[in-house]
Amino acid sequence: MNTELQDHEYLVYSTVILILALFTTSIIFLLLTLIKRARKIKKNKKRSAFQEFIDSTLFSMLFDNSTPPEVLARFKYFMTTSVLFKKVAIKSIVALHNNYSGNYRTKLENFYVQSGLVHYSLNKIRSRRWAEVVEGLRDLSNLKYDPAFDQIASLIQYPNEFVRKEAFLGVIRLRGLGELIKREDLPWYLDDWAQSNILLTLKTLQLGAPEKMEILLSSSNPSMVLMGARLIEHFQYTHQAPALQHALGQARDLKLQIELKDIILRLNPYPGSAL
Amino acid sequence: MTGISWLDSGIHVFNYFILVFAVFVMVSYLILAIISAYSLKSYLKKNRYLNYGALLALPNIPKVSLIAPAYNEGNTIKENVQSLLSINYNNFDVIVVNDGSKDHSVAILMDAFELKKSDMVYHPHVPTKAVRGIYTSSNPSYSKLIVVDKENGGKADALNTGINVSGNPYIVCIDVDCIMDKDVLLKLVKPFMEQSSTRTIATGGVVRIANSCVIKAGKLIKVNATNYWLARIQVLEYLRAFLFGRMAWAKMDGLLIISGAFGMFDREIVIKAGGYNTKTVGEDMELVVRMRRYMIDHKQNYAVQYIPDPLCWTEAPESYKILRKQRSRWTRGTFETLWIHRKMFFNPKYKILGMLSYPYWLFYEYCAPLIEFTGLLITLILVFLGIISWVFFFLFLIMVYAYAVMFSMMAIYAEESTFKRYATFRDLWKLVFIALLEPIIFHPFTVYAALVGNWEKIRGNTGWGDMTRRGFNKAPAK
Repeated sequence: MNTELQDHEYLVYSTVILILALFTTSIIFLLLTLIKRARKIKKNKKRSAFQEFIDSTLFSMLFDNSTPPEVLARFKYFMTTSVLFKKVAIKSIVALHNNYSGNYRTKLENFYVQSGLVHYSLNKIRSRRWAEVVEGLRDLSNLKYDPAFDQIASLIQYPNEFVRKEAFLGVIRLRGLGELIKREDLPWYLDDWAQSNILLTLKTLQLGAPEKMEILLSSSNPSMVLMGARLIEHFQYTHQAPALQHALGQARDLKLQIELKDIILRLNPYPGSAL
Repeated sequence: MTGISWLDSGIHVFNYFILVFAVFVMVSYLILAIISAYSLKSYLKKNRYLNYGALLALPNIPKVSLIAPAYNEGNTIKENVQSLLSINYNNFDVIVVNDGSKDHSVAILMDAFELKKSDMVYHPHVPTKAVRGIYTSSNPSYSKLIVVDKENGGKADALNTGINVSGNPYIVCIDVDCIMDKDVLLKLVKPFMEQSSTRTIATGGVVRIANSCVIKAGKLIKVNATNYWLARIQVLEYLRAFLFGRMAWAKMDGLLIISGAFGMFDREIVIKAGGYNTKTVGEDMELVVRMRRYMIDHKQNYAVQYIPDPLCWTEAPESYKILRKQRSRWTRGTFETLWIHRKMFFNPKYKILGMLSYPYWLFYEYCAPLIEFTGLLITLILVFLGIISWVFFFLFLIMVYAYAVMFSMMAIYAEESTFKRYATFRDLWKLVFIALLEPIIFHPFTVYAALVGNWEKIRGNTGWGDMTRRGFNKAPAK
């Protein structure tokens, strides 16, 4: 037996080394898990503290006559020392922006610019990481930063589809549905997911109907034809039914044909009757 | 060795076979884990900013039928159906198929949901056992509910009945006792909405263990790592299987199974492929394989997608008896599916399915317990002959143990890096502790259960076996 072991000494050693390596890897993964959890807990605590501070400060600006310079003075230290603070601040501003209207919204939009948080978002849309670009352009468009319009519009041609879709949504948020009409021949497919986001945006922002919506029905891009039909349905433009019928006649795409038929039926559930 | 040349040669060959097999298993698990990690990271990155609620803005969001077969579920069926009806989605109906229950399931449903017999005509696109009646509610609050009462024919037959009754293009097949996330349909439908030239025929989801979790009114309130060892080991096992295994196979377009407890399908393709096979107990895997074969045979572009979010929570067996029955059935189901589709084995026509997925399932899922058992027998013979090298025996034993522990730690880390559903340090330590025990107390049992499954298959057992469960929020049976 001993001779056999001596013959296979290298095998014994390599197996022992492998065992040690496996146990070490297990411990490393366990430590990584613990570190990750501890960091997460610490970050969440910090985030909660920031959140409370930011919310109370922004509320005081909106409702208690604190001036933006006063708020900025309170923010100053954290703005220069913590990226997390900037993230939480932007998130809070966007949340408040969604919940309020009129003058409050304008105040928040102005504060976003005055505080310099807008530069944080602008830097993000120049990032090489597409997820950051999405985050940046979403913040900019949600907070109506119109000077970034051209930059956002240029991202509609971005290679990454998530950025393209978000940029497309961004220009609509900034300047309304007219931007959709201007891009009637969009060179890429606007899938149902993106279309549902556009419909949600126009509902939440209560965007008005664009002029010449029917132009979309003659687009060479079937997804834009469908988007046009959905907008016609949303605004209940029953007078556009002939244009929809025409689009149905022209449609080569099977999915588009089915969807157009459904929309026509929903717009006029009693075919033959006057629309 | 023994000095008998043929025996010595045989032992040598077997030793090397086992070694090569074990190395392949370990390496393949690592490769799958790496692919999964990459894929999970990418999924989470893409889904980080998504607002699933946006889908509700779409007036013509795809219509979906949730099909829930029920057999003797009277104790919990009312709450379960209420939970299904409260799912966050616009266009869906819930089809509960009572598969000839011996309890009062139908009476309970009729009473709870004010059901009356419907004049709906039953079209058996897929042949099933006779339907006794179809019921809908007279109360508009339950307008989404359809209850089908039929003769007992098994789960697959009940699902086929639901498929026949559904008039919607998509179906979600679930176990009626599963707890669903409220956004489950929004997440499952997304891949179908993103399809363009490639047709998505199925989306599979992750199933997690709900034992000891806090559940109220059919909703998952808080996730806990259960105190019951057997169920807790399965928590870890499901983490490894769903986070590492299936995620990687989905990424490689080689996914062969979508859990019977939770999957969404293109109804047209399901019917064209022939519906669920009622002659196998592995009907979930068999359907996916057959649908994929159908698409390849008919030269159609298709995709099978996978959603790694924990959306469906189920109760795991807490007794060895029930677990043995479950695992035995899984073994029989795997064998039956592999046998039915044996034409795919190393068949290049089926690309990755034929060249990789099928052989993997055959060798590493189905044959692995048989090979392990053979190894055990040979070891006993070597001990009997007095020619075993105890040093190598223990070294390899420790190595396999260390590997299993490492893999579990990787799974725990993956969960921590992604969904973080086990939020307390106490739960984390519970999982770590069970990871140390799992290779010793659980794995040998699964090998035994697989052997029983093979034995039952040889003896012609085709049944499911009684799968009694404790029910959520109830004390264990004494």
